[in-house]
Amino acid sequence: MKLKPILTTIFISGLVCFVALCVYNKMYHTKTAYIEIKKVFNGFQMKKELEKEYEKTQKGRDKILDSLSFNLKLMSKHLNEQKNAKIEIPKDEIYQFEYNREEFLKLKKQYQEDNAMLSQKFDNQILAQLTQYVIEYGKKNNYDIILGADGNGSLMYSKESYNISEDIIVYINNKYKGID
Amino acid sequence: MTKLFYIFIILVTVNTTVTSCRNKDFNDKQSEQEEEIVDSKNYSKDNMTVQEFLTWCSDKNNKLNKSKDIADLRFNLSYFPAPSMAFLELRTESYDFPKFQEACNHYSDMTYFNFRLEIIDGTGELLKYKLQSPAQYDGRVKYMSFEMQKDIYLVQGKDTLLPGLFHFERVFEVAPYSTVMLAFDNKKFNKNEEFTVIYNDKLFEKGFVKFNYKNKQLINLPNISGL
Repeated sequence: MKLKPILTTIFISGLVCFVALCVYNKMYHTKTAYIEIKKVFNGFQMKKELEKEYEKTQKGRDKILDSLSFNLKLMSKHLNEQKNAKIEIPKDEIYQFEYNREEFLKLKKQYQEDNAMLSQKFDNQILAQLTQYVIEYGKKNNYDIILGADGNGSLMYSKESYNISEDIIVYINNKYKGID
Repeated sequence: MTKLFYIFIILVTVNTTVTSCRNKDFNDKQSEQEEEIVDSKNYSKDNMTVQEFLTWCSDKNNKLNKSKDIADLRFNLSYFPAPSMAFLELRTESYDFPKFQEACNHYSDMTYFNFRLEIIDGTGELLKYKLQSPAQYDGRVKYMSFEMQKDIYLVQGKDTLLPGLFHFERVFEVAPYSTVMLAFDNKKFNKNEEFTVIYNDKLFEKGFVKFNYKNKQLINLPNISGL
């Protein structure tokens, strides 16, 4: 007969604990995860596409430089042959060689700068879109914090279950491709 | 008393279920199911008035309008079916259906899109946004008027198609966005199959902005009564 009030007390206590736990979960639980930045960056489709475009541009420029360099070598060989045979080299040919060499060096420097600028531009574009999609992923899945592990000590340890890199890669690639 | 115990057990089970609902996979599946429900609900609508049809087209759930935010900019691509184009042309409250049908036929050879670039939470003219020199403004106007059409294209399988029609609508200071109307020739791609519209942004250097349209997304449209 005395069992009933005891069970009622246990039940009410359980109920109060349950409600308190729910409120605590809702109000104070921080949903956290981390991504491996390098892995996500390398898995991003946009990075792969722009990398191809960069290589294509760079190869095109290298081809032009190779062609100019080859012409310069031929001219140089021709001039050396004339010099060894003790034939007087026409001044026009020397000026032409000097001019071509200057042009080649100027172009080479310009291409190096252009390549660096293009690489920087593509990196900025990739990072802008990647950051945007990670923010959208976080908002959609109610994350409070998404950390980025890049191996420089900003994240020293976390359980593997907090690693959402694979999910993020799928999400950002779909977003990039414009798939809803 | 036993009943109370069972209720307690049920509550604990509910709590466990609620906690597991936080799981990402569940959320994903749930949102996919919701999307399917939205799709099926919308596709069942038929015999609409022109006004209802336009509202339906502008509803984001129907996926004719696609939007993408990148940093401080919003890129928006809206599909304009032939009736929407006819409405824009006629602009009248009382529809003369033979005329409306004629206008619809006029626009049936091309697939029309409205592409809008917008500053998120911004004011003023888009082309003056983060402007570094007056010459840059002229360059931007020229780009949007003439060059931009080479940077927007439709990709289907391995085929790439440039727009057959392109028109930049200049709004000056009136709104913080710029709009272009573009159209692709229906004979050169299959509207029933999946395709992607790509814009390679050279105006604000945001890179490739892609909008994907799935199979039959553009043809499963509601009917307009009287047409």
